[in-house]
Amino acid sequence: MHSKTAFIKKQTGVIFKYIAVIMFAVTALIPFLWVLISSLKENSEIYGSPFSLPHKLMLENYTTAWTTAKVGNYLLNSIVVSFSSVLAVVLIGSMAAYIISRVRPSFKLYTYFTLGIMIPVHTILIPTFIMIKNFGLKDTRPGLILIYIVGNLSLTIFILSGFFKTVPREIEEAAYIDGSSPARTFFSIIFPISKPGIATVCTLTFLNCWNEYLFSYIIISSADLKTITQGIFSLQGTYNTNYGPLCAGLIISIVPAVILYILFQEQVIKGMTAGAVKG
Amino acid sequence: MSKRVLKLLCLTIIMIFSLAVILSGCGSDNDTSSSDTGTKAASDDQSARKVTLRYAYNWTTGDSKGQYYEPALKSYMEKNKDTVEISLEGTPGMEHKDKIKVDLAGNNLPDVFMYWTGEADLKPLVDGDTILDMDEFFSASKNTKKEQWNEGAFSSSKVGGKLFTLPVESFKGFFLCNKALFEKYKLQYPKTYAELKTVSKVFIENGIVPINMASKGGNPGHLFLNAVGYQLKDGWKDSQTIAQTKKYNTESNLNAAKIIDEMRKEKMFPSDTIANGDWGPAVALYNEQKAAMVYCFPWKIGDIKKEIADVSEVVPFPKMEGAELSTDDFAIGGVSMGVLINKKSFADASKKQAIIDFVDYLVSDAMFTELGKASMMPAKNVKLDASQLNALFVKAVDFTSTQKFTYDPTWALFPGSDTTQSYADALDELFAGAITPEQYVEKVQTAVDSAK
Amino acid sequence: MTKASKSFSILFVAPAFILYTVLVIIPVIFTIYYSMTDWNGISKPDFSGVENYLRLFTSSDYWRVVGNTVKLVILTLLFQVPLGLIFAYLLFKLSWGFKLFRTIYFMPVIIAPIAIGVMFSLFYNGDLGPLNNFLGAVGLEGLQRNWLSDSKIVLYSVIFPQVWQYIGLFVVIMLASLQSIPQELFESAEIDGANSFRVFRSVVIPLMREVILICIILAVTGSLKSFDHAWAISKGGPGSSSSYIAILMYKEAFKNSNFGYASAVTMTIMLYALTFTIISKKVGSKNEVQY
Repeated sequence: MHSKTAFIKKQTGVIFKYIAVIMFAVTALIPFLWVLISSLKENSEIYGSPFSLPHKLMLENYTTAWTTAKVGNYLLNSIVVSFSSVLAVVLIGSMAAYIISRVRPSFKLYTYFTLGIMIPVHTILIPTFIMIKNFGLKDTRPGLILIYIVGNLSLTIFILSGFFKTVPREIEEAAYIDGSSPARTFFSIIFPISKPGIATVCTLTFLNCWNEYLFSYIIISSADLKTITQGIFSLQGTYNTNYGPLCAGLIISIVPAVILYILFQEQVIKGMTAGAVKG
Repeated sequence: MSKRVLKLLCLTIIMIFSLAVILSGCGSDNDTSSSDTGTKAASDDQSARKVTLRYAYNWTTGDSKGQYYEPALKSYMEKNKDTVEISLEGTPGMEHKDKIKVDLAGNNLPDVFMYWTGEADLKPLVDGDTILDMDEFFSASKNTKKEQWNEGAFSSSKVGGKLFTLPVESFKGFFLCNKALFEKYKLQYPKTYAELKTVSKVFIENGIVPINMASKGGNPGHLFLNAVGYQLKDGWKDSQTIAQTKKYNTESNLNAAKIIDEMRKEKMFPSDTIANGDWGPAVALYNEQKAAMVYCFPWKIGDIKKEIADVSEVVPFPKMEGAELSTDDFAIGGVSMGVLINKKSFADASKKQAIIDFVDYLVSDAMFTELGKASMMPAKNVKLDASQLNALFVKAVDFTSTQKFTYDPTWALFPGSDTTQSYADALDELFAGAITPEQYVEKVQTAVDSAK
Repeated sequence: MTKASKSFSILFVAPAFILYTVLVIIPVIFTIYYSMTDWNGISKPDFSGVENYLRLFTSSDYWRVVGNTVKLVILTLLFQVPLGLIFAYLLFKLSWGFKLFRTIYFMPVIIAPIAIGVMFSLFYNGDLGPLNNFLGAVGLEGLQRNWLSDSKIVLYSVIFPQVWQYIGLFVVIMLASLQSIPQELFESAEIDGANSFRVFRSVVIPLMREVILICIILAVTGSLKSFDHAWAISKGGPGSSSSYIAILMYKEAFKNSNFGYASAVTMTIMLYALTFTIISKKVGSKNEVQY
């Protein structure tokens, strides 16, 4: 046993691992730090001395972003729309996924639903818009929420189907034997066990809704219903861009997403692939 | 899956499909303002004569005019809240154009809206019979009359000889030189192309970009191209008649492209023409004293720092070799945006008067005064109070008023809107040196050929 | 014993089914219809059969953007998924700080692509941007470029942020998968004398086959649909040198008002995505590993 060389080998291995990991972490963080620092600078500083620390903290950028671009208002709208969409899509998506993966497994239905993953959303913009308009839902929150629901339904069903497949049959059988109705079984037993899978779907859907831009500006025209992505875009001006407030706006829109992630990450991690691993 | 379930599912699909088809069929003849739900459309029923109008525009947050325009709109809404409810649809920038296009495709055109002028943008709207012939408006309105504009202002608002927009924003390009930089290197403002080359070399040696000009999505490059090209023999004529001749590959256009290419080789432009292109960065280098000259437009005036504006001089655009038209006599410009009225809405008796009153306000002298504060050049004949205006804006207006003619950029004169996209792309490539002048002209010609 | 009845099943699937059919499938059917028409969005669509398809298959612009999209897909497969796997494994073997790094890696995923686009377009500015400034400051002026105007490299300038942004997503997914592999397998491999690398190759990868496949499908279909990043950074320019198929579709629809042609372009995206998914499912399901 060459314990000494083995030890040195192991230690250098560890050091290299840490170096690689840290370097990647740095590249992951740099853009944020840059946006954060820029949000505190004056416009000309951003262009003139992009890497230096701000020589005076322009907190006004934040107030500008908040008031001029009505960021506060838009934040609220984004929250309402995103949360509603997530709730709805998780509910009906999980219901459907349960049926097609466990109760009456149907490959045909599974394929039907997951086709949606391949459809780029801008491509069905016009026909979908016409539909929404004909239902009288244009320029309304429900209209936008409906779109977000269907936009995320395919991915939700895809992930949850895989997840539900791994729930042990015995639990279901036990519930039936106890006389629980199928609906009861689903809501009181299957659903709670699947928290991690649900958490995954919640995160992905939330991010998709929070960051979505195209449909929000096509469907929503009234100023008080606009979402945060529209707010950021409006800071970007046609003929001029105030990068200071723009960066401040970016930070404001990123913060809630980050907070939510940090709060839920444990669940999300657990749920992401528990199903997929076991096939 | 059992037969029964399968049958049930099929039935459901068929039902849903037919429902959707019926609904979408029903929708195609409606104009939407009355089928709005969920918006703050107040009591538009019964006898309350309150009407709801939808107004779409893009001078909102992000445009320096927005800070004057939106309050002006809101004050009108406040004053008239008993008779009319105006639903504002402000979408910043070019997204507004996309939104109007989606609205058109979805039969959802607003009652009144701002839009760009120019045959390329207007013709499809006219062909689809969607917008109002403004002569009808003039006869119905007591306050707004055709004579309040110069006849020339209407040129890009006409299609087939009829007028379809009320011009609001006009613009003229003007050439700025940073006096301090020129004095620092003991240079004179370049009057000719040859002088331009000489001063550029000095600036380049000292790490300064000569001209803050680039092209992304065709902007602002296409205007600069015209400022160069219209000076040449037949330059203006070729563009002026292009909708009829459908010929872009003319000598003047080729020569203009060659000059741009040469300027690029001489490093007169910043090296990264995409990153510096489009309007956002259009004066960024100039503002930082990293560029000595800029071909500027009114909407950028608000972005120029006061210290720089104070040392900026408006000078005639450098004259090209063999130029037939003098830059003292013309400016590139025209009307960029105007107010349009939805034809169906105007025909709706319940809305007609509300529309007339609102549009009167949109093109009133008071409105133009507000917009002037944001350095917008009015399309109508309005006298603005200089004391309220930006100093550089005043210099620009004074200078350009000495130029007899205003020529529309080629962009506004193409026969079809697909042409403008290809034109923009080709310009980006020309400025970036990705294609030769000959290839550039051919690309644009191909686009013109396929215009419907 | 109350087993699930047919009506229960239908009831449960119905909401999703109805919404999906009305707001996704039917619009797709309309798109198929539009793709065979000549439509400017204002007047009535004009039936034109396969003309749009013929036009796009003979258009050099179309093949250029397909080429760009293919390059994106390849680079995504070469870097995004493998790097995700590698870093997941590295984090897995880390004795300290793994939660912290996991959070950091996921941060870019959270940001809106539009925001990433704006950030990078600032970074890349040839004269004023930080990237060139930084290269100059460390003496690497030779590497300075016009990241966005040089049509030879603009595509790569645009691909980079997109590939980079989502590495974290795959790190997180694969890390979870790694964590569910029973400890005994690792221990027995180590007892047998296998080093980290061997363990990785012979234990980890086979067991994670299914997850890796899912990640690949997500990555590729995502790339085929790609729009936001390129649009925000360069609007697909200059010309179409950094455009993807979805950008071509958008420009044709909204800038050129060729909605019919744009719909045809859309159909080709769906076709490619469908083909890819079918092929990869077939290839992937060949050897499944159970343990």
